[in-house]
Parts: sequence; C-alpha cells; structure tokens
Amino acid sequence: MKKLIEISLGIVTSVGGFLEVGSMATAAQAGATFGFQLIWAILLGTICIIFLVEMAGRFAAVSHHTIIDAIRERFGFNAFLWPLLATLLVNFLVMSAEIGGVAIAAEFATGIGFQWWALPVAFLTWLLLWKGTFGFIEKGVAILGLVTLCFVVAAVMLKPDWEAVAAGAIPSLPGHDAANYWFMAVSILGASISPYLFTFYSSGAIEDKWDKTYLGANRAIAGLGMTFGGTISVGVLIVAALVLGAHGINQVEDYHQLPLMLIPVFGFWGFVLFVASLAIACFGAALEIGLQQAYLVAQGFGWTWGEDLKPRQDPAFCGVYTLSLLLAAIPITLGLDPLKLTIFSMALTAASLPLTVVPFLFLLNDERYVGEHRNGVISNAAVIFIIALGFVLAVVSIPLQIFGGS
Amino acid sequence: MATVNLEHLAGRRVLSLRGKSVGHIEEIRVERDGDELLVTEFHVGIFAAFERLSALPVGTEVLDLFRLRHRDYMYRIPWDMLDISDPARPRLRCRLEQLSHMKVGADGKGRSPASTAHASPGRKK
Amino acid sequence: MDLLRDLLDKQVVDRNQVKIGKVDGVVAELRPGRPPRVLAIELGSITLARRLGARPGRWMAWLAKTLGGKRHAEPHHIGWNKVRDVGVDIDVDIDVRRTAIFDWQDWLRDHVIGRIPGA
Repeated sequence: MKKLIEISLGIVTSVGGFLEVGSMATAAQAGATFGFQLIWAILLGTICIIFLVEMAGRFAAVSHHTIIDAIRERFGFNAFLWPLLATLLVNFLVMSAEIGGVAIAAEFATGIGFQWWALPVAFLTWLLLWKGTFGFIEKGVAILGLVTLCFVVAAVMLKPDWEAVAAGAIPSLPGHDAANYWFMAVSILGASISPYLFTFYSSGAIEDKWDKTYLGANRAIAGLGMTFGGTISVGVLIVAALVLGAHGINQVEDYHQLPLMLIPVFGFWGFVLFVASLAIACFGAALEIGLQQAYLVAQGFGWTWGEDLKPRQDPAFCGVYTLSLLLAAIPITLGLDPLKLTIFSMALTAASLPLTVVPFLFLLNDERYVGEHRNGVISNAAVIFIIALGFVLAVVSIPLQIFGGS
Repeated sequence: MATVNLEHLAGRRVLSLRGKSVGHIEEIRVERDGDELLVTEFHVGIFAAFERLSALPVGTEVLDLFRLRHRDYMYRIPWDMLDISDPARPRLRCRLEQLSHMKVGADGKGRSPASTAHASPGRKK
Repeated sequence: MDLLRDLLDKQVVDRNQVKIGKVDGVVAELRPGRPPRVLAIELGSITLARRLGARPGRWMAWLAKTLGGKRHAEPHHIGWNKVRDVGVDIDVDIDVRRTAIFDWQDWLRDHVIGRIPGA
C-alpha cells in the first residue's frame, strides 16, 4: 500500500515537474504558428524522456550511485569535465529562463516589470532550498503543479477536431516557413528531453533511498508521470492553436500574448489559472535545476551532498546552489527577454544531448553497476536512437536558430 | 625517493626505443603482495581515447560499429619493460620484436606463451 | 586489480562513512629493479588540475598556497596502508576531521554558509 502511495506521488511529481517555461513556451509557439502539426514532436520527446528517466531511476536504485557519480568514476575526470561544463552552462541558461518565467507571471499579476521580480524570485527559491527537505520540496511542487492540468481541461472544453489532433501526432512536412517549423521541432525536443530532468531524477532516487524493490515503481513513475506531463504539453499546444492561432496570432513574439490563451475558456479565471500555472511550473523547475547544479558539482568532486542535510553539514553543496541562483537571476534583472532566452536555451539543450546521453549506453550495460538489471535490447535501441537524434539536433540547431528562430 | 603519479599514464602514447608509437596505455594492473600494492603490468592498446570504455560488450560493439576502435589485440607489458619515470612519455624498454610475445587477443587470451619477465615476488601461479 | 578502472576516480569514504572526495590521483614509488609500489591515493584540486596539464597544475598549486598557506601547497595523501576496502567505494581508515582535506569546506561553513541564518 505504501508503495502505491509512493508511486502515485512519484507520478504526480513527474507531472508537476515536466511542465516548465520551456515546454509551455515551445508548445504555445508551435500551436499558434503551426496548429496541431507539431504534436508529433512532443510525443517523440516524451517517449525519449520516458526511456531516459526509467534508466536513470533504475541505475540509481540498483547501484546506489547517481548517473553523475558514475560518469566521473567510469570515464575519468578528464572525460567527465566536458559533460560537466556543458551541463552547467545549459542548466544556468535554463534556470535563468525559469526565473524569468516566474518573474513574468509576477508581472502579469501585479503589473510591476519582470526585471524587478528576478532577484526576489531567486531569493524565494534559495530560501526553500536552504530550509526545506527533499521530500517537502518534492511533494510541494507535485501538489501545486497539478494546477497545470487546467490546460488539459481547457483543451477538451474547446472541442478541437480530434481527428486533426490525431493527424498532428504523425510527423508531416510544413506548408510554410520550413526553417521555423524545424527550429520549433528542435526546441520542443530540447524542452522535452532536458538533461536536468533525468539527472535530477537519479539524484532524487538516492535522496528517497530507493533500492531494488523500487524498480517496478520506477517504471510506473517514469512511464505514467512523463506521459501525463507530455499530455499537458499537448494541451498547451491545442489551446494555443485554437485560441491564438485561430484568432490570427500566428507568431508568439511577446509573452504578453500568452495569458490570453485561457481567457476564452475560463474567462477572468483563465488569466488567473495561466499566471498560477506559469508561476508554479517555473518555480518548481527553478528549485529542481538549482538542486541539480549542486548535485552535479558535489557528485563530480565527491563532496558530501543531500538536500535533507542542514547547510552546515554540506557547505560546498549549498554554496553551489546559492551561487547558481544568484548568477541566474542576473540576465533577467538586466532585462533579457525571458521568452527569447527560453527558446534559445531549449535549442542549446537539444544540441548538448549527445554529451549527456552517451554515458547511458555504457553505464546501463555495465554489470558492475547494474548487475543483472542491465538494459535489454529495447532500452539499448532507444538510447542509440536518442544519441543519433541528439547528434542531428546538435548539428542543425545552431543554423536553424539563425535562419528559423525569432 | 622517485615518485610518479600513475593517473598521468592513462591514455598516454607508448613509444618504442626508436620513437615509434606502439599504442596507448589502457590499464595498469596492480597486485597485492602482503601489505604492499605493486604494479605488475601495463595494458597497451591501439586506441587511446576509449581505453576506459573498452571493457563493455555493448560499448565495444558500438565503437566497432562506428569504427572508432580497431582492436584485434592488446599488449600486456610487464612492469620492467616500460620506463614510466616521465609519465607523459612512457617508453618501451624492450625491443619491438619482443613485444609480439606480449600480445593477447581482444578476448584476453594469450596468443603465444606469456613473457617470462614476471619478477614480482609472491605472485601465485 | 585494474588501477584505472577500479581505483581511480572512485568515491572515498572515511571511517565514519563521510564522503571525503574522489580518488583524484595515485602516487607510486619507482624503485630500480623492483616493481613500482603504490604509496598513496591523492585527493584535491591540485591533483585534478595537474591531470589537465602542467600549467593548470602550477596555477592551482599557487592558488592553494596563497589561500591556504603552506599546508595546502601539496595535494592531500592517504597512504595505501590506510585503505581498507576497494569496492563500490574506497573505504579508508582515517577520520577526515583530523586531516586538512575539509579545511576549505570548514572555512566556507564558518565564514559564509554558517553566517547565513537558518544554516
């Protein structure tokens, strides 16, 4: 019975954690510009992340090491340095975007410019990491994150042509603006297959003290949690397509256009729900990425780490997330457009995928770590596919950013 | 006391007496002798960058697929046949011809009688 | 035992199960006519910097000496005779509080982290 509760909680956490400013912005832009055509990108991204999250969880549960621990141990410090630096950089940009997301939500709610909110938001995030425990943060984010289900409700209430929606699940070529189309596809994939998602998941498994008995729960959480999360993303896309796109807003250039999405469905409450969803989703993501930066550095260098410890017990670990949050607040404080930063950082995430996913191929087949729970043929095929996809994305994302980005 | 940091040997190119490249250090074998830990062998393979990846079945298959690794064999060089006083530039002490006795197949099995230069005390046969 | 695979870069854990760091380096003694003997495992930023190159190593050593004094001019060593077990982690029979390994973290705790309320 306890396991069932834990599984449910895990699923809810994954749902709440999946949606953040990247998935919201890319789904909204995709829906507004291309209608239902890019649903396949969200589906593809979701399937990939399910595999990676399941593997990350399984690895941690069986080996009692996180993926990051194992990358350093297995490949040596010199080889580890590159994924470390790349991931720190990408995380920094994404964290900045998330802080920007909460700041925008605060601007919508109060009218005070988002730049003023960046440091307060960063401070609030820091405070929760400083005083909170892992379980508290996990559960809190999970419960609050359920507000994002409003997008699914809205999507259903708008009565879309479900056949057209299903057609969007199959990849198709764009009728217009090919460069922009593929750029968005790349951004969606980057938003869905975020390295911080699966690396955080493996650290979380250790924080929650998982062992081999959690393997089934892990599969359920990874599969169902990510699926629900992907469903919410599709919900955002559908709403954007029907509300923004249908009303002639084909380019989401300005984040002020976004809250309009839920008003036709819920009236004034649509505005409130949107602001709440944006704020909570991004805040949760900022917490996770802040922790992830600290996990990365602490695990890479072998320091003591753990969110349940008091800061006095792991000063270096806490120092990293403190510094990360402070630095990430700076671009937004300086007025960098959060929407543009989001789209850019999603494309960069996609480009950095090979570096972070290649280790999975080796670690999940290494008996010394996972014993008899090595990858089967399907999992290995999935990893190889994702790596290939990652290389393609890495090659095309920068040119597309130049030619197809806004 | 002359000391050396063994981690600097990882992946280094091994040169012969004449300066010809023999391969790269993939692994350093050590064995306990009472309370002491002694270096017994250096495993030298053809490709450097992936020396720590070569232990796995899937990993090696993938590398072979992408032709990143042409490993038919590896040399197991006894400790006294390699000069590691400059870890960035390990040099072979024996002649190239003697190397062929130290070849092992990629499966780890020797192709010819193992070198008789194993002088580490207390090594059980 | 394979040194690079089984010892290097592994997590080091002290007598009280405290994570000390990773095995950043391994020091061996070269003896004429006899096999090299492993003396100690090395930990610390200087060791890591040296793995990246001679110049990063010198720079890091200078930084460590400037910030930490003579005690930190050289990397930390844990003698091989203190290594109890080489498995998933490397268990060493020392108490990290008796070494200088955590000096910088202690400094961080006392001067920065510890000063913030709620630590």
